[in-house]
Amino acid sequence: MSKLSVLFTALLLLLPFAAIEAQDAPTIAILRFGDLPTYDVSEGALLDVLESYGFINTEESAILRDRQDLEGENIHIVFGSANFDLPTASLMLENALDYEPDVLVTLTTTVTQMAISATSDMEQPPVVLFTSVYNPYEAGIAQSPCLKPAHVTGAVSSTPYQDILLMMLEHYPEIETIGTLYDSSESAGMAGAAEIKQIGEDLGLTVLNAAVAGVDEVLLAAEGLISRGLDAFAFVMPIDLRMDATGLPLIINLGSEYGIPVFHPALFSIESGATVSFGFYNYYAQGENLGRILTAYLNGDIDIAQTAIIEQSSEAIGVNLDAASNQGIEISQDILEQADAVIADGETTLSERVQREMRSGDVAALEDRQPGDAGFLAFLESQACSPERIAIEEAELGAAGQ
Amino acid sequence: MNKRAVVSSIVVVILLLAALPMVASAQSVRNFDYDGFKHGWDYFSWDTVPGGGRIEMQFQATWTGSDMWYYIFKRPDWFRRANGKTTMWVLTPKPRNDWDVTGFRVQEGRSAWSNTLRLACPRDVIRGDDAASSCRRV
Repeated sequence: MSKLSVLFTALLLLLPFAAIEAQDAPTIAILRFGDLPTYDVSEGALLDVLESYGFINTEESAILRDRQDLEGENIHIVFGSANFDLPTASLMLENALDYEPDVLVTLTTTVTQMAISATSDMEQPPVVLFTSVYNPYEAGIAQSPCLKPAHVTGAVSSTPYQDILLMMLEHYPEIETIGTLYDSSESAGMAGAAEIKQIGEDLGLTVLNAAVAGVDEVLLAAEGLISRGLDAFAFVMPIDLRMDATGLPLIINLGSEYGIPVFHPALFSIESGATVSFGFYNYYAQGENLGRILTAYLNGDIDIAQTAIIEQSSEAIGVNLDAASNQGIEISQDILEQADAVIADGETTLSERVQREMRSGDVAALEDRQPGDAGFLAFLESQACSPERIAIEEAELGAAGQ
Repeated sequence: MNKRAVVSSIVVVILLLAALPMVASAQSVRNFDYDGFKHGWDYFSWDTVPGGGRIEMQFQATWTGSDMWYYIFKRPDWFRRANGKTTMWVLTPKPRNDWDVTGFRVQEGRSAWSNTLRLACPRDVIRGDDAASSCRRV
Protein backbone atom coordinates (compact mmCIF):
# COMPACT_ATOMS: atom_id res chain seq x y z
CA MET A 1 0.00 0.00 0.00
CA SER A 2 1.45 3.33 -1.00
CA LYS A 3 1.95 6.15 1.48
CA LEU A 4 -0.73 8.11 -0.34
CA SER A 5 -3.38 5.43 0.04
CA VAL A 6 -2.53 5.03 3.75
CA LEU A 7 -3.02 8.74 4.20
CA PHE A 8 -6.27 8.63 2.23
CA THR A 9 -7.59 5.72 4.31
CA ALA A 10 -6.67 7.54 7.53
CA LEU A 11 -8.49 10.63 6.34
CA LEU A 12 -11.57 8.58 5.48
CA LEU A 13 -11.53 7.06 8.95
CA LEU A 14 -11.27 10.49 10.55
CA LEU A 15 -14.10 12.03 8.51
CA PRO A 16 -16.96 10.66 10.63
CA PHE A 17 -15.32 12.14 13.73
CA ALA A 18 -15.04 15.51 12.06
CA ALA A 19 -18.69 15.27 11.03
CA ILE A 20 -19.73 14.36 14.56
CA GLU A 21 -17.79 17.31 15.94
CA ALA A 22 -19.47 19.66 13.45
CA GLN A 23 -22.87 18.22 14.33
CA ASP A 24 -22.19 18.61 18.03
CA ALA A 25 -21.76 22.34 17.68
CA PRO A 26 -25.09 23.93 18.55
CA THR A 27 -27.00 25.83 15.88
CA ILE A 28 -28.47 29.19 16.77
CA ALA A 29 -30.85 31.16 14.56
CA ILE A 30 -31.02 34.89 15.29
CA LEU A 31 -34.23 36.26 13.85
CA ARG A 32 -35.68 39.76 13.78
CA PHE A 33 -38.67 41.43 12.21
CA GLY A 34 -36.68 44.11 10.43
CA ASP A 35 -33.52 46.16 10.54
CA LEU A 36 -32.96 48.82 13.17
CA PRO A 37 -29.67 50.10 14.56
CA THR A 38 -30.87 49.24 18.06
CA TYR A 39 -31.24 45.58 17.05
CA ASP A 40 -27.68 45.65 15.76
CA VAL A 41 -26.57 46.83 19.20
CA SER A 42 -28.48 44.08 21.04
CA GLU A 43 -27.25 41.38 18.66
CA GLY A 44 -23.71 42.75 18.94
CA ALA A 45 -23.90 42.51 22.73
CA LEU A 46 -25.05 38.89 22.44
CA LEU A 47 -22.09 38.14 20.15
CA ASP A 48 -19.76 39.85 22.65
CA VAL A 49 -20.90 37.41 25.34
CA LEU A 50 -20.52 34.41 23.01
CA GLU A 51 -16.99 35.59 22.19
CA SER A 52 -16.07 36.04 25.84
CA TYR A 53 -17.14 32.46 26.50
CA GLY A 54 -15.17 31.13 23.55
CA PHE A 55 -18.09 30.03 21.39
CA ILE A 56 -16.77 32.25 18.61
CA ASN A 57 -13.27 33.54 17.92
CA THR A 58 -12.21 36.96 16.70
CA GLU A 59 -12.26 35.99 13.00
CA GLU A 60 -15.68 34.40 13.29
CA SER A 61 -16.91 37.41 15.22
CA ALA A 62 -15.93 39.71 12.34
CA ILE A 63 -18.06 37.61 9.96
CA LEU A 64 -21.01 37.56 12.33
CA ARG A 65 -20.97 41.33 12.88
CA ASP A 66 -21.97 41.67 9.24
CA ARG A 67 -24.89 39.26 9.86
CA GLN A 68 -23.31 36.63 7.66
CA ASP A 69 -24.16 33.04 8.55
CA LEU A 70 -21.35 31.09 10.14
CA GLU A 71 -20.61 27.40 10.45
CA GLY A 72 -18.06 27.85 13.16
CA GLU A 73 -15.88 25.50 15.11
CA ASN A 74 -17.95 25.69 18.28
CA ILE A 75 -21.23 27.12 17.13
CA HIS A 76 -23.31 27.56 13.97
CA ILE A 77 -25.21 30.80 13.62
CA VAL A 78 -27.78 31.75 10.99
CA PHE A 79 -29.44 35.13 10.71
CA GLY A 80 -32.82 36.26 9.46
CA SER A 81 -34.54 39.60 8.98
CA ALA A 82 -38.00 40.17 7.51
CA ASN A 83 -38.18 43.86 6.57
CA PHE A 84 -41.19 44.26 8.91
CA ASP A 85 -43.26 42.11 6.56
CA LEU A 86 -45.36 39.23 7.91
CA PRO A 87 -45.15 36.85 4.90
CA THR A 88 -41.38 37.39 4.76
CA ALA A 89 -41.16 36.70 8.50
CA SER A 90 -43.00 33.43 7.98
CA LEU A 91 -40.55 32.37 5.26
CA MET A 92 -37.62 33.47 7.43
CA LEU A 93 -38.82 31.23 10.22
CA GLU A 94 -39.37 28.23 7.93
CA ASN A 95 -35.90 28.70 6.54
CA ALA A 96 -34.40 28.89 10.04
CA LEU A 97 -36.22 25.72 11.14
CA ASP A 98 -34.76 23.86 8.15
CA TYR A 99 -31.39 24.16 9.91
CA GLU A 100 -32.86 22.22 12.87
CA PRO A 101 -31.60 24.83 15.29
CA ASP A 102 -31.03 24.21 18.97
CA VAL A 103 -32.00 27.76 19.85
CA LEU A 104 -34.09 30.43 18.16
CA VAL A 105 -33.11 33.90 19.36
CA THR A 106 -36.02 36.16 18.47
CA LEU A 107 -36.17 39.93 18.53
CA THR A 108 -39.60 41.58 18.54
CA THR A 109 -43.03 40.44 19.65
CA THR A 110 -44.16 39.38 16.17
CA VAL A 111 -41.23 37.08 15.42
CA THR A 112 -41.44 35.58 18.91
CA GLN A 113 -45.15 34.86 18.47
CA MET A 114 -44.45 33.15 15.15
CA ALA A 115 -41.54 31.15 16.56
CA ILE A 116 -43.63 29.84 19.44
CA SER A 117 -46.52 29.04 17.16
CA ALA A 118 -44.21 27.09 14.81
CA THR A 119 -42.45 25.13 17.56
CA SER A 120 -45.08 24.44 20.20
CA ASP A 121 -46.28 21.19 18.62
CA MET A 122 -42.78 19.81 18.08
CA GLU A 123 -41.74 16.84 20.17
CA GLN A 124 -38.33 18.37 20.82
CA PRO A 125 -38.71 22.06 20.03
CA PRO A 126 -35.73 24.34 19.88
CA VAL A 127 -35.37 26.69 22.81
CA VAL A 128 -36.86 30.12 22.05
CA LEU A 129 -35.08 33.04 23.74
CA PHE A 130 -36.64 36.42 23.10
CA THR A 131 -35.90 40.06 23.67
CA SER A 132 -37.18 43.43 22.38
CA VAL A 133 -40.62 42.08 23.19
CA TYR A 134 -43.40 44.25 24.56
CA ASN A 135 -46.69 43.04 26.04
CA PRO A 136 -45.91 39.30 25.72
CA TYR A 137 -48.94 38.30 27.78
CA GLU A 138 -51.43 40.20 25.67
CA ALA A 139 -49.70 38.79 22.57
CA GLY A 140 -50.21 35.22 23.76
CA ILE A 141 -46.50 34.46 24.05
CA ALA A 142 -47.15 33.43 27.65
CA GLN A 143 -49.80 33.94 30.29
CA SER A 144 -47.41 35.17 32.96
CA PRO A 145 -43.67 34.99 33.71
CA CYS A 146 -43.88 31.28 34.64
CA LEU A 147 -47.05 30.16 32.86
CA LYS A 148 -45.31 29.76 29.54
CA PRO A 149 -44.20 27.06 27.11
CA ALA A 150 -41.37 25.07 28.69
CA HIS A 151 -38.98 25.79 25.81
CA VAL A 152 -39.47 29.55 25.95
CA THR A 153 -38.07 32.36 28.05
CA GLY A 154 -36.76 35.85 27.55
CA ALA A 155 -36.83 39.45 28.62
CA VAL A 156 -39.70 41.86 28.32
CA SER A 157 -38.90 45.50 27.75
CA SER A 158 -41.52 47.54 29.51
CA THR A 159 -43.03 50.64 27.99
CA PRO A 160 -43.40 53.63 30.29
CA TYR A 161 -46.76 54.81 28.95
CA GLN A 162 -47.73 56.08 32.36
CA ASP A 163 -44.58 58.16 32.65
CA ILE A 164 -45.02 59.54 29.13
CA LEU A 165 -48.53 60.71 29.96
CA LEU A 166 -47.51 62.13 33.33
CA MET A 167 -44.69 64.06 31.71
CA MET A 168 -47.01 65.29 28.97
CA LEU A 169 -49.60 66.51 31.46
CA GLU A 170 -46.96 68.18 33.61
CA HIS A 171 -45.51 70.16 30.73
CA TYR A 172 -48.52 70.51 28.46
CA PRO A 173 -51.50 70.72 30.84
CA GLU A 174 -53.62 72.26 28.11
CA ILE A 175 -53.76 68.92 26.24
CA GLU A 176 -57.20 67.39 26.79
CA THR A 177 -57.43 64.81 24.03
CA ILE A 178 -54.89 62.31 22.80
CA GLY A 179 -55.02 60.06 19.78
CA THR A 180 -53.30 56.71 19.26
CA LEU A 181 -52.97 54.71 16.08
CA TYR A 182 -51.89 51.11 15.80
CA ASP A 183 -51.69 48.40 13.17
CA SER A 184 -54.41 45.82 13.84
CA SER A 185 -51.99 42.97 13.03
CA GLU A 186 -49.40 44.13 15.57
CA SER A 187 -50.31 42.82 19.02
CA ALA A 188 -47.80 45.04 20.83
CA GLY A 189 -49.40 48.09 19.20
CA MET A 190 -52.89 46.95 20.06
CA ALA A 191 -51.95 46.22 23.69
CA GLY A 192 -50.05 49.50 23.94
CA ALA A 193 -52.99 51.49 22.61
CA ALA A 194 -55.29 49.82 25.15
CA GLU A 195 -52.84 50.65 27.94
CA ILE A 196 -52.55 54.27 26.83
CA LYS A 197 -56.33 54.51 26.75
CA GLN A 198 -56.75 53.11 30.23
CA ILE A 199 -54.03 55.26 31.80
CA GLY A 200 -55.05 58.37 29.84
CA GLU A 201 -58.67 58.09 30.90
CA ASP A 202 -57.63 57.53 34.52
CA LEU A 203 -55.71 60.79 34.23
CA GLY A 204 -58.77 62.60 32.94
CA LEU A 205 -57.86 62.71 29.26
CA THR A 206 -60.11 61.90 26.35
CA VAL A 207 -58.39 59.09 24.46
CA LEU A 208 -59.23 58.31 20.84
CA ASN A 209 -57.94 55.07 19.31
CA ALA A 210 -57.83 54.07 15.68
CA ALA A 211 -56.76 50.72 14.27
CA VAL A 212 -55.50 50.52 10.70
CA ALA A 213 -55.00 47.47 8.49
CA GLY A 214 -52.11 48.94 6.55
CA VAL A 215 -50.24 52.08 5.65
CA ASP A 216 -52.95 53.10 3.15
CA GLU A 217 -55.35 53.76 6.01
CA VAL A 218 -53.02 55.75 8.26
CA LEU A 219 -53.57 59.20 6.82
CA LEU A 220 -57.34 58.99 6.85
CA ALA A 221 -57.42 57.53 10.37
CA ALA A 222 -55.03 60.18 11.71
CA GLU A 223 -57.01 63.01 10.16
CA GLY A 224 -60.17 61.50 11.62
CA LEU A 225 -58.63 61.59 15.11
CA ILE A 226 -57.40 65.17 14.67
CA SER A 227 -60.82 66.36 13.56
CA ARG A 228 -62.30 65.08 16.82
CA GLY A 229 -59.90 66.88 19.14
CA LEU A 230 -58.15 69.59 17.21
CA ASP A 231 -57.93 72.35 19.79
CA ALA A 232 -55.99 70.58 22.52
CA PHE A 233 -54.66 67.45 20.89
CA ALA A 234 -51.54 65.30 20.86
CA PHE A 235 -50.61 61.97 19.36
CA VAL A 236 -49.32 59.45 21.89
CA MET A 237 -48.13 56.43 19.98
CA PRO A 238 -47.73 52.85 21.20
CA ILE A 239 -44.75 50.65 20.38
CA ASP A 240 -45.81 49.25 17.02
CA LEU A 241 -43.08 48.23 14.61
CA ARG A 242 -45.32 47.92 11.58
CA MET A 243 -46.79 51.37 12.19
CA ASP A 244 -43.36 52.86 12.97
CA ALA A 245 -41.84 51.49 9.78
CA THR A 246 -44.34 53.06 7.43
CA GLY A 247 -47.09 55.04 9.15
CA LEU A 248 -45.18 57.19 11.64
CA PRO A 249 -43.72 59.58 9.04
CA LEU A 250 -47.25 60.26 7.76
CA ILE A 251 -48.50 61.04 11.26
CA ILE A 252 -45.51 63.28 11.89
CA ASN A 253 -46.19 65.20 8.67
CA LEU A 254 -49.76 65.74 9.79
CA GLY A 255 -48.45 66.89 13.17
CA SER A 256 -46.36 69.55 11.47
CA GLU A 257 -49.28 70.62 9.30
CA TYR A 258 -51.71 71.00 12.20
CA GLY A 259 -49.24 71.96 14.94
CA ILE A 260 -49.74 68.74 16.89
CA PRO A 261 -46.96 67.15 18.97
CA VAL A 262 -46.20 63.44 18.65
CA PHE A 263 -45.11 61.59 21.81
CA HIS A 264 -43.50 58.19 21.29
CA PRO A 265 -42.22 55.45 23.64
CA ALA A 266 -39.10 54.55 21.59
CA LEU A 267 -36.19 56.86 22.35
CA PHE A 268 -34.91 57.02 18.77
CA SER A 269 -38.33 57.75 17.29
CA ILE A 270 -37.20 61.39 17.39
CA GLU A 271 -34.99 60.48 14.43
CA SER A 272 -38.18 59.70 12.50
CA GLY A 273 -39.57 63.06 13.55
CA ALA A 274 -41.45 62.39 16.82
CA THR A 275 -41.49 65.54 18.95
CA VAL A 276 -40.77 63.97 22.32
CA SER A 277 -39.80 60.39 23.06
CA PHE A 278 -39.63 58.71 26.41
CA GLY A 279 -38.56 55.12 26.58
CA PHE A 280 -36.23 52.19 26.87
CA TYR A 281 -32.62 52.73 25.94
CA ASN A 282 -30.60 49.83 27.43
CA TYR A 283 -30.14 48.12 24.10
CA TYR A 284 -26.68 46.79 24.91
CA ALA A 285 -27.71 45.49 28.32
CA GLN A 286 -30.74 43.67 26.94
CA GLY A 287 -28.59 41.88 24.34
CA GLU A 288 -26.02 41.12 27.00
CA ASN A 289 -28.67 39.60 29.26
CA LEU A 290 -29.90 37.42 26.43
CA GLY A 291 -26.29 36.39 25.78
CA ARG A 292 -25.98 35.46 29.44
CA ILE A 293 -29.08 33.25 29.23
CA LEU A 294 -27.92 31.71 25.93
CA THR A 295 -24.40 30.85 27.13
CA ALA A 296 -25.74 29.53 30.44
CA TYR A 297 -28.12 27.30 28.49
CA LEU A 298 -25.41 26.11 26.08
CA ASN A 299 -23.15 25.36 29.05
CA GLY A 300 -25.93 23.41 30.77
CA ASP A 301 -26.14 25.84 33.68
CA ILE A 302 -29.84 26.72 33.47
CA ASP A 303 -33.11 24.96 32.77
CA ILE A 304 -35.18 27.03 30.36
CA ALA A 305 -38.44 25.54 31.64
CA GLN A 306 -37.65 26.88 35.12
CA THR A 307 -36.41 30.26 33.93
CA ALA A 308 -39.04 32.93 34.38
CA ILE A 309 -39.63 35.64 31.82
CA ILE A 310 -38.03 38.74 33.28
CA GLU A 311 -39.03 42.37 32.89
CA GLN A 312 -36.52 45.13 32.40
CA SER A 313 -37.07 48.83 32.05
CA SER A 314 -35.25 52.06 31.58
CA GLU A 315 -36.24 55.55 30.70
CA ALA A 316 -34.59 58.26 28.70
CA ILE A 317 -36.10 61.33 27.13
CA GLY A 318 -35.56 62.36 23.53
CA VAL A 319 -36.48 65.72 22.02
CA ASN A 320 -36.62 66.76 18.39
CA LEU A 321 -36.32 70.55 18.48
CA ASP A 322 -36.63 70.74 14.69
CA ALA A 323 -39.97 68.91 14.74
CA ALA A 324 -41.15 70.99 17.69
CA SER A 325 -40.30 74.15 15.79
CA ASN A 326 -42.24 72.95 12.74
CA GLN A 327 -45.23 72.17 14.94
CA GLY A 328 -44.98 75.41 16.89
CA ILE A 329 -44.55 73.45 20.12
CA GLU A 330 -42.46 74.93 22.90
CA ILE A 331 -40.08 72.54 24.66
CA SER A 332 -39.50 73.54 28.26
CA GLN A 333 -36.01 73.96 29.64
CA ASP A 334 -36.86 71.31 32.22
CA ILE A 335 -37.45 68.65 29.54
CA LEU A 336 -34.35 69.74 27.64
CA GLU A 337 -32.21 69.42 30.74
CA GLN A 338 -33.48 65.90 31.34
CA ALA A 339 -33.19 64.84 27.72
CA ASP A 340 -30.67 62.15 26.77
CA ALA A 341 -31.12 62.59 23.03
CA VAL A 342 -31.66 65.95 21.36
CA ILE A 343 -32.02 66.73 17.68
CA ALA A 344 -31.31 70.34 16.75
CA ASP A 345 -30.60 71.63 13.26
CA GLY A 346 -30.53 68.06 12.00
CA GLU A 347 -27.80 67.01 14.42
CA THR A 348 -28.37 64.36 17.11
CA THR A 349 -26.64 64.73 20.46
CA LEU A 350 -26.66 61.78 22.86
CA SER A 351 -25.89 61.76 26.57
CA GLU A 352 -22.99 59.65 27.77
CA ARG A 353 -25.24 56.98 29.28
CA VAL A 354 -27.15 56.50 26.04
CA GLN A 355 -23.97 56.52 23.96
CA ARG A 356 -22.63 53.80 26.22
CA GLU A 357 -25.70 51.69 25.50
CA MET A 358 -25.16 51.98 21.76
CA ARG A 359 -21.67 50.47 21.85
CA SER A 360 -20.51 47.37 20.01
CA GLY A 361 -17.55 45.04 20.06
CA ASP A 362 -17.06 45.34 23.82
CA VAL A 363 -15.68 41.85 24.44
CA ALA A 364 -14.65 41.44 28.05
CA ALA A 365 -12.17 38.86 29.28
CA LEU A 366 -14.05 35.91 30.73
CA GLU A 367 -12.76 36.49 34.26
CA ASP A 368 -13.90 40.11 34.08
CA ARG A 369 -17.40 39.32 33.02
CA GLN A 370 -18.09 36.22 35.12
CA PRO A 371 -18.99 38.00 38.40
CA GLY A 372 -21.63 40.09 36.66
CA ASP A 373 -22.94 37.09 34.79
CA ALA A 374 -23.09 35.09 38.00
CA GLY A 375 -25.11 37.91 39.54
CA PHE A 376 -27.57 37.89 36.70
CA LEU A 377 -27.93 34.11 36.86
CA ALA A 378 -28.40 34.31 40.62
CA PHE A 379 -31.19 36.80 40.00
CA LEU A 380 -32.79 34.40 37.51
CA GLU A 381 -32.46 31.63 40.08
CA SER A 382 -34.15 33.79 42.70
CA GLN A 383 -37.03 34.28 40.27
CA ALA A 384 -37.20 30.60 39.24
CA CYS A 385 -40.51 29.03 38.32
CA SER A 386 -40.97 26.97 41.45
CA PRO A 387 -44.24 25.07 41.97
CA GLU A 388 -45.17 27.72 44.56
CA ARG A 389 -44.62 30.57 42.15
CA ILE A 390 -46.54 28.81 39.40
CA ALA A 391 -49.41 28.21 41.83
CA ILE A 392 -49.43 31.90 42.77
CA GLU A 393 -49.47 32.99 39.14
CA GLU A 394 -52.28 30.56 38.36
CA ALA A 395 -54.25 31.90 41.29
CA GLU A 396 -53.65 35.50 40.18
CA LEU A 397 -54.79 34.72 36.66
CA GLY A 398 -57.81 32.93 38.06
CA ALA A 399 -58.66 35.92 40.27
CA ALA A 400 -58.31 38.20 37.27
CA GLY A 401 -60.74 35.96 35.39
CA GLN A 402 -58.29 34.95 32.66
CA MET B 1 -74.75 86.66 47.52
CA ASN B 2 -77.41 86.24 44.92
CA LYS B 3 -78.90 82.94 43.82
CA ARG B 4 -76.87 82.82 40.63
CA ALA B 5 -73.60 83.33 42.51
CA VAL B 6 -74.49 80.55 44.95
CA VAL B 7 -75.24 78.16 42.10
CA SER B 8 -71.97 79.14 40.41
CA SER B 9 -70.04 78.52 43.64
CA ILE B 10 -71.63 75.08 44.03
CA VAL B 11 -70.75 74.21 40.42
CA VAL B 12 -67.15 75.30 41.00
CA VAL B 13 -66.89 73.17 44.15
CA ILE B 14 -68.38 70.16 42.34
CA LEU B 15 -65.93 70.63 39.47
CA LEU B 16 -63.01 70.91 41.88
CA LEU B 17 -64.09 67.73 43.70
CA ALA B 18 -64.44 65.93 40.38
CA ALA B 19 -60.92 66.98 39.44
CA LEU B 20 -59.42 65.70 42.72
CA PRO B 21 -58.81 62.07 41.67
CA MET B 22 -57.04 63.30 38.56
CA VAL B 23 -54.75 65.57 40.55
CA ALA B 24 -54.11 62.85 43.13
CA SER B 25 -53.34 60.27 40.46
CA ALA B 26 -50.36 62.25 39.22
CA GLN B 27 -48.64 62.22 42.62
CA SER B 28 -45.30 60.66 43.38
CA VAL B 29 -44.85 58.03 46.03
CA ARG B 30 -43.67 59.71 49.22
CA ASN B 31 -41.65 58.49 52.19
CA PHE B 32 -40.58 55.26 50.55
CA ASP B 33 -38.63 53.39 53.19
CA TYR B 34 -37.59 49.92 54.29
CA ASP B 35 -36.65 48.11 57.46
CA GLY B 36 -33.09 47.22 56.53
CA PHE B 37 -32.04 45.19 53.55
CA LYS B 38 -31.78 41.56 54.53
CA HIS B 39 -32.46 39.96 51.15
CA GLY B 40 -35.11 37.31 51.21
CA TRP B 41 -38.28 38.85 52.57
CA ASP B 42 -37.85 42.56 53.04
CA TYR B 43 -40.41 44.98 54.31
CA PHE B 44 -41.04 48.26 52.48
CA SER B 45 -43.47 51.06 53.26
CA TRP B 46 -44.60 54.39 51.85
CA ASP B 47 -47.44 56.86 52.07
CA THR B 48 -50.44 55.44 50.27
CA VAL B 49 -51.14 57.20 47.00
CA PRO B 50 -54.77 58.34 47.05
CA GLY B 51 -56.78 56.07 44.82
CA GLY B 52 -54.35 53.20 45.30
CA GLY B 53 -54.20 50.64 42.53
CA ARG B 54 -51.59 48.30 41.17
CA ILE B 55 -48.17 48.30 42.81
CA GLU B 56 -44.88 47.69 41.03
CA MET B 57 -41.43 47.57 42.54
CA GLN B 58 -38.13 47.46 40.73
CA PHE B 59 -34.52 47.02 41.74
CA GLN B 60 -31.13 47.82 40.30
CA ALA B 61 -27.94 45.84 40.74
CA THR B 62 -24.32 46.42 39.82
CA TRP B 63 -24.36 43.41 37.49
CA THR B 64 -26.75 45.17 35.19
CA GLY B 65 -23.71 47.04 33.94
CA SER B 66 -26.04 49.94 33.36
CA ASP B 67 -28.88 51.78 35.02
CA MET B 68 -31.47 49.30 33.85
CA TRP B 69 -34.21 48.36 36.29
CA TYR B 70 -35.64 44.91 36.83
CA TYR B 71 -39.08 44.19 38.08
CA ILE B 72 -39.40 42.26 41.25
CA PHE B 73 -42.09 39.68 41.06
CA LYS B 74 -45.39 41.26 42.08
CA ARG B 75 -47.61 39.54 44.60
CA PRO B 76 -50.66 41.72 45.03
CA ASP B 77 -51.91 39.74 48.02
CA TRP B 78 -48.90 40.66 50.06
CA PHE B 79 -49.36 44.34 50.52
CA ARG B 80 -51.56 46.15 52.94
CA ARG B 81 -52.98 49.65 53.06
CA ALA B 82 -53.77 51.03 56.50
CA ASN B 83 -53.53 54.37 58.28
CA GLY B 84 -52.31 56.16 55.20
CA LYS B 85 -49.42 53.74 54.69
CA THR B 86 -48.92 51.00 52.15
CA THR B 87 -46.66 48.20 53.35
CA MET B 88 -45.32 45.34 51.30
CA TRP B 89 -43.19 42.25 51.77
CA VAL B 90 -40.97 41.63 48.83
CA LEU B 91 -38.63 38.76 48.02
CA THR B 92 -35.49 40.67 47.16
CA PRO B 93 -32.45 39.23 45.43
CA LYS B 94 -29.35 38.81 47.55
CA PRO B 95 -25.92 40.12 46.73
CA ARG B 96 -23.27 37.50 46.05
CA ASN B 97 -19.55 37.63 45.48
CA ASP B 98 -18.86 40.71 43.38
CA TRP B 99 -22.27 42.18 42.81
CA ASP B 100 -24.62 44.31 44.83
CA VAL B 101 -28.18 45.39 44.89
CA THR B 102 -27.96 49.14 44.59
CA GLY B 103 -31.48 50.51 44.63
CA PHE B 104 -35.21 50.06 44.87
CA ARG B 105 -38.13 52.12 43.65
CA VAL B 106 -41.89 51.73 43.71
CA GLN B 107 -44.95 52.93 41.86
CA GLU B 108 -48.51 52.78 43.17
CA GLY B 109 -51.58 53.16 41.02
CA ARG B 110 -51.16 56.05 38.63
CA SER B 111 -48.29 57.63 40.51
CA ALA B 112 -44.89 58.55 39.21
CA TRP B 113 -41.97 56.46 40.47
CA SER B 114 -40.83 57.00 44.03
CA ASN B 115 -37.44 58.29 44.99
CA THR B 116 -34.79 55.57 44.73
CA LEU B 117 -33.68 53.87 47.92
CA ARG B 118 -29.95 53.63 47.38
CA LEU B 119 -28.01 50.89 49.09
CA ALA B 120 -24.33 50.31 49.71
CA CYS B 121 -23.00 46.95 50.77
CA PRO B 122 -19.56 46.62 52.39
CA ARG B 123 -17.03 44.91 50.19
CA ASP B 124 -14.85 43.51 52.94
CA VAL B 125 -17.26 40.84 54.10
CA ILE B 126 -17.83 37.37 52.81
CA ARG B 127 -21.08 37.54 50.93
CA GLY B 128 -23.97 35.41 51.87
CA ASP B 129 -27.15 35.44 53.84
CA ASP B 130 -25.69 37.30 56.81
CA ALA B 131 -23.66 39.80 54.86
CA ALA B 132 -26.67 41.25 53.10
CA SER B 133 -28.01 42.60 56.38
CA SER B 134 -24.91 44.79 56.63
CA CYS B 135 -25.92 46.70 53.49
CA ARG B 136 -26.73 50.28 54.41
CA ARG B 137 -28.94 52.95 53.00
CA VAL B 138 -27.01 55.79 51.38
